[in-house]
Amino acid sequence: MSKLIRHLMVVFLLTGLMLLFAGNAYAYLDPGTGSMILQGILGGLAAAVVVARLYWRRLLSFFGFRKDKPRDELPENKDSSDTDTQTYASDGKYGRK
Amino acid sequence: MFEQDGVLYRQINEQGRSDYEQMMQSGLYARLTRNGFLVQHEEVAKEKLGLDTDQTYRILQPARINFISYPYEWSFSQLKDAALLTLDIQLTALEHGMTLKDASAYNIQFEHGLPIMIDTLSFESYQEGQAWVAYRQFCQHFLAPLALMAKKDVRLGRLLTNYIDGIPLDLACILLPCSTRFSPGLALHLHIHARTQRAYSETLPDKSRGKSRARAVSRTGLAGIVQGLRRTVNKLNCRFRASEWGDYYDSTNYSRAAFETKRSLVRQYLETVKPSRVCDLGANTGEFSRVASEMGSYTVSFDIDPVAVDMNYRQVRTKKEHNLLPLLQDLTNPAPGLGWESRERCSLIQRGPVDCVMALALVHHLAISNNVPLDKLASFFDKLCTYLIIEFVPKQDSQVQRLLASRDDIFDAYDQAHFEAAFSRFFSIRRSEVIRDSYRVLYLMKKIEG
Repeated sequence: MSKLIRHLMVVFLLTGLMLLFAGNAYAYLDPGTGSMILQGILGGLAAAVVVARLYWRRLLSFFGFRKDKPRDELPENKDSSDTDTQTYASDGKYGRK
Repeated sequence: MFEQDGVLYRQINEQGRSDYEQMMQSGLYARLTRNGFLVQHEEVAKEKLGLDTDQTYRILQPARINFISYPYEWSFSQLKDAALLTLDIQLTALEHGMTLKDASAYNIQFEHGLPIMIDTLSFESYQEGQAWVAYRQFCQHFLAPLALMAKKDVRLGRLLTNYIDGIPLDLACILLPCSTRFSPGLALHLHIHARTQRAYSETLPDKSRGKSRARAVSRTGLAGIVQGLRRTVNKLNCRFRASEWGDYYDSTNYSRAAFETKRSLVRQYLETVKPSRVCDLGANTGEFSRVASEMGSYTVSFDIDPVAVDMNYRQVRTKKEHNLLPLLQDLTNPAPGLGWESRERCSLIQRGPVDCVMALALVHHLAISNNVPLDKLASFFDKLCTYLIIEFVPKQDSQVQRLLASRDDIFDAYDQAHFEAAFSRFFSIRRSEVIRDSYRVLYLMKKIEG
């Protein structure tokens, strides 16, 4: 269920962003400006997701659904605890002795 | 960057001083080099090189890379690993209060079988609120070609030869299938990214307000973007369609005995030569390259088939093979000199010569499929190497018969006598042995000096 909601939200968001930037432009002056502006938006979204997850976890642990792991829940550390991002540094893939 | 007495140096000017000091003192350099993410360097006294100018702050001597390769010569997995490494370096840099100002694929090389960053001076101090200046470059150099290869066709990687600063995002979006619009990572970083570029293409960046406007990105947000890119790249996988590349691997023309004879002959020849660097041309998945690399020669293993090169690289990665580098190369159209004055990226021949070239089961493809006269072949090899281990595949061979089945046999001069005559102009033939159970002959030749 929550997966479906998440999926719908993503599609909704993407459609919104696509409409937002549907303007026509001609010359190709500097593609750099657009890249910066997009990061502003994406960065805001990413930060919001991190904060939302943080509070969601706190809520769950408040009701006893989850063990409290305060160190992992600092926003800065949050992303590296994601299961689907294995870091090369930790599994030693790039490491060589 | 400059070269003196055959040694490569990098010069840091006074403007680069604070960034360099921060990298060394924050522990970033130590951490990156310890993990094998970044090439090591030594500081050299500038007086020693006669460079005592006021503008010069430091001179670095980076560890030398065995063989320089370029993104258009990498297979899918190589480009993907290089992309992940770039993102991991950016994440590490952020933890040390720094950020990558370049995310060029040309800053990555392959050494000891793994990707490594070679641009020590790509780091600058990170200011809170700052966006990632190399975000667009990362998307063009890595994400766009990887997505095209994974979602459309692996051969689209060759576009990187044409676009030296990475594939323009609008072009990538036209080529990508519609379904990629519904994959969150690709939609955001490619499709919507291309649209924002177009929408703001006439807006000049406002330096006075730039950092304080809506573009401000929090540190958490920035790390989130890089993590998101990492997840997106990590999910991309190339499904090689078996039907297209089919029976490349099983359909060798050898009996087991012939194969073993050939392998032991190659080993014997290599033992006489004892080369420090070998190029194996037409290496397929690197079966014979490994004969050389296991004997301690640094071996570059070239093939035209992206699937074979990818299999070869994955084997290098799994088995941690330290001195084998698989690369894509179309010998009928080898990597040219590219960039400014055609000199920014070296051609294949400029990166040679090597001690020994192996050309096994290759000559008939070049001479018959591609119609290259034997003397032209010989002069090509002459530019590449001192020693040549080359296999002649005569017309009686079933592989050649197969090539001749679809074309007129206009190759009267394609026989062993003409082959030897053509190569004798450039090489002296040291050994020649018929491979048991076949019509093929394996030669060891040495270049005639002068």
